[in-house]
Amino acid sequence: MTADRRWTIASYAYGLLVAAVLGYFLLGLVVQVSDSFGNLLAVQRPTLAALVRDQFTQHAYLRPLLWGQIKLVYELSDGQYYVWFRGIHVVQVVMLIAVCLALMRPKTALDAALVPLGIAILTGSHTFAPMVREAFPINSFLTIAIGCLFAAWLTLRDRARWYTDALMLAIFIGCVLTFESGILVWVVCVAAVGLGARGLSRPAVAAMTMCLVAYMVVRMFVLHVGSPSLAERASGFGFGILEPNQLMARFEGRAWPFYLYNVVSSISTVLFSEPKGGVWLFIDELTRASVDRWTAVSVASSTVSTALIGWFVWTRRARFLSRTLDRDERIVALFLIALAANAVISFPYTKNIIMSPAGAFLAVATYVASRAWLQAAAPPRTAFAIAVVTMLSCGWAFREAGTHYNLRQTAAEQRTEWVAVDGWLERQRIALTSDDAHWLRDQLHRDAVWNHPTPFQFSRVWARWFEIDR
Amino acid sequence: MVRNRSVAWYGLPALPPLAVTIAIAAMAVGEMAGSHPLTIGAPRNVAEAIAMGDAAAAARFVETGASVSDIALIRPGILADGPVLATPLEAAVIRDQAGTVEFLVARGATAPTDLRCLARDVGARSVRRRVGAEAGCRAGDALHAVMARP
Repeated sequence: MTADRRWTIASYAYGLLVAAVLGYFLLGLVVQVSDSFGNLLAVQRPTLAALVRDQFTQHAYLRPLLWGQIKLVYELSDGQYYVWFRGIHVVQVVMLIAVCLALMRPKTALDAALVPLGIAILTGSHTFAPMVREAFPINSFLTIAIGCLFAAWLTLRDRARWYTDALMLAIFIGCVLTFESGILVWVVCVAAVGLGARGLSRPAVAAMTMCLVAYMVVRMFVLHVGSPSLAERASGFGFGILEPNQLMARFEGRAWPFYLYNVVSSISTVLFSEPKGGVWLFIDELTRASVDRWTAVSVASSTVSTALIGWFVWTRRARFLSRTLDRDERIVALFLIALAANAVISFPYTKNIIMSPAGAFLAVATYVASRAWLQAAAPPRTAFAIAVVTMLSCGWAFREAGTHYNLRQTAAEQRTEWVAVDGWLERQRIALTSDDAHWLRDQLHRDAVWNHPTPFQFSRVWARWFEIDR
Repeated sequence: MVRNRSVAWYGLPALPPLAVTIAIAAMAVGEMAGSHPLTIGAPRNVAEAIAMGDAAAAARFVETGASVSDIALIRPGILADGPVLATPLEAAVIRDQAGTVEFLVARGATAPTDLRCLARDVGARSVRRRVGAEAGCRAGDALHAVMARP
């Protein structure tokens, strides 16, 4: 076995360990009441064809394949909802980590040494946490993040083949009809080819572009599917959350300042972990002189990551300007383009999870920048360079631990929802009218309360360190 | 040799995430083997289950015949640094679990303290929305009644 191969295998073995541990924690969750039980009730009666067809008459969203996937898994599960839906969530996380590693392409000892940092950024980010804490009951944001990283990996390969072109086209269509953010897959492919990548042919990019144009035309002019209105949901703004009626009162008829705020907030949340969900928590805590440990570490670790990426771009600015880029530079450029595009399509409202594709790219871009930073450090600056990356690594490791802590808490919260599910149904004005609906509720309730008991909870001592939701 | 030693320093950034992953993996293996490192372990009664945020365990206790109103011991480090004696309803209010309060009330639970006052004392917003506004209680009295219980 060559040395190169050893480090690659070691890196993938570490990725597998992280995925296994995360998978163990993910299996502590159950199919949740909010966002999942209602969706499962909705797919019970209609046929797959009718369900997909109905999605073409929605006003704000066009997600036929998402509902198709839920229906398909619901039918395949044959009552084993926990096994199927939780199993899919675990598989998604494994795929995300695998494709992230493929994009990092670790070959040397230094690469392998930075892989734990890269994966910690991926799994410790506040844009990643909601991808594992929630499912609807299939987490479509995870699907899109996997699609985007896969697109980057595929297009950054040495040459295009007809079957990789066809695969990429299929993935793009699948993603865009699953979730609006699927457009990012197209952005990544076009940007990568524009930056000189050769893993996707130009005819394939043209075909994807035609599909995108067709999607937009059909969406806007045939189906008249718009974007979510201000009245759709509460959103973070400034130092608090504005309810839909407050958003309407403040921005109705002149929504563009709110949309601009959302775009800027979305970019900033990936680069600096501030604001979160549109709320400037760190600034607020700073003005009250009571900065929480979790907030401080989040902001510091993200800011150092951003600084390293900034250093990387600055030191190679001539190459970026002339667009004669190597693979690492293309990855960083892709991160910046995906970040901007992700933020722009998130204009209607800002949520951490929406920026998850850009958050995943941040992991790979920081990995690349950190490697370049360490390689560029000559004595006597070497110790300082290593110290910076090690401190960064400490911050992200802390956040990675926080993701696991919060998964445990979520496991308990989800079951609390099931204990009081009848009250929830009443508040949502959902009446269970069929025997199937009653059976579904009873089965999911049994899964949550009896079949899969709540995993042990961490002592409250840890809450002082990892409490994210306050 | 000297060069190898200096190259090894480049491995430092790998250590913090490695340590976290290995620690959590060890915890997971420990749990699968029947112990509960880093965690409190299984709850021992209805009130403690609720205090730990584990309403499902509380529901299982209740379904298998446990009282929904008895005062029970909640171990140190769960609700407070020291041990706490509380009823399931009080624990649910202190943890701001409105759904659990509904669950317990539907099964006939009672508590010696005024829950609305307790909800105000602990800032339990969700519970306050469900149980309504408090009237005529002195700030801190309800919480003190629970915490100072002998």
